[in-house]
Amino acid sequence: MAGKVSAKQVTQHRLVAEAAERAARERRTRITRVVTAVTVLALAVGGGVWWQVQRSAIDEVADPGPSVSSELLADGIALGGANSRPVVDVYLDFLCPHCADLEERIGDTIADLAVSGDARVVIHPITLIDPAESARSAAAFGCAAGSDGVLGYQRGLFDNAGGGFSTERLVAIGASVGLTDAAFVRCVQDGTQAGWAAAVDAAAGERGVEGTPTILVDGAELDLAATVTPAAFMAELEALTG
Amino acid sequence: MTTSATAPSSRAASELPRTRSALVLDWLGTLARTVLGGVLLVAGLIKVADPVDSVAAVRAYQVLPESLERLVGYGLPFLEIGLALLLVTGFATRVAAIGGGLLMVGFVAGIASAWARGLAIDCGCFGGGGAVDAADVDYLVPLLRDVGLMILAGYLAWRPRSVLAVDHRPPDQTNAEGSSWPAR
Repeated sequence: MAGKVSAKQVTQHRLVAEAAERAARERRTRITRVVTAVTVLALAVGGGVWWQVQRSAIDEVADPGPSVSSELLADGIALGGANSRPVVDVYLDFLCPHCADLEERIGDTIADLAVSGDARVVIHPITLIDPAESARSAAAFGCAAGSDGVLGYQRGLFDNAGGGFSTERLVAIGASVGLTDAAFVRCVQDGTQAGWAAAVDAAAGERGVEGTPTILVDGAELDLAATVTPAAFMAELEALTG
Repeated sequence: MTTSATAPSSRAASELPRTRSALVLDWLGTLARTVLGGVLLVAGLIKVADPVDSVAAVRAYQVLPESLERLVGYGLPFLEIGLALLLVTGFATRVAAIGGGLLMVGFVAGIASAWARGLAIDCGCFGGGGAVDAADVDYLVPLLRDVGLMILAGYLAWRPRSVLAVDHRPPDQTNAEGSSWPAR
């Protein structure tokens, strides 16, 4: 009888001990899970922020192109001499991939025309791709008018279109091509030229420009093949102007 | 094992009364995890794709200092995705639910404050965000949705147990000892 009682007690003790051990094990598992979860969250957020910062970093423009005087018009920015002819009107949207492609192909050629005075180049940044960001970049572009860094800013905008055109990025892109003066920065931040950008867009519409990129030479539209070369562009220009 | 004969009986006494209502609550937990986690996952993935919009959406609320707007705009989508993955898999459910619940409290406070201040913005809950036409302003729907999600998070924080969760694997027949299913 005494033996039976003691055996029962032993079993009970063992069960209590096992239960305690099980509880302790579960507690450890739970703590491990919580620590793992918090660590994973911290790494995801930290890594994510780092990745987004990298993604939105400003690409420096390798070659900002030539400096050329510029003038703010009601419907665009004119480069070079006011009396140069023919008039080459370039309609673009800084978010438009074909415009960036065209800039890469014949941007230097068009810049040379403006610098040499062989043409009066007028850049019209219209709002086509994104109502907010295209308009904001166009307004910022307008802020660069009057400086001689318009072409550099244009390249900076095309090069950095992938990261979007927030106000800070528009200011930072300007800084990367030397547009650092306080008036420019304030103009971009305040959206001073938003009304001008809307007017540029409206004027393009009135003129019948529906897409980008569009280049008009003395009002006649150039046929821009996607594979246009500087030589082909010059040939077409000469054909149109005689 | 010598205890194998006695252990099931003791377990049966203390743990087996898993009533029908407990099972219903377990499934309710799974449903809550799936809905809260699913919404967070979708919201996070949409926002990750467009960090510029995400920052703009944060800025539109006009509550954070400028230095924090970028951090929150960039980081919040990843926090949402991280919490969503924990919730959907049922890993550290209580912690994830508390995190998700606090997020919802923050969202509700943000939307309510935007409403109270008369701002005309989109909540930016699923991408987008920023200023909108006064006619398109809708604070009630996102507010109710986030309150609903907050209740789900509160339920999970109070009772994190659910089925189909890493936290509570079903009983392992070969090693009942190591299972955390009927225990706790």
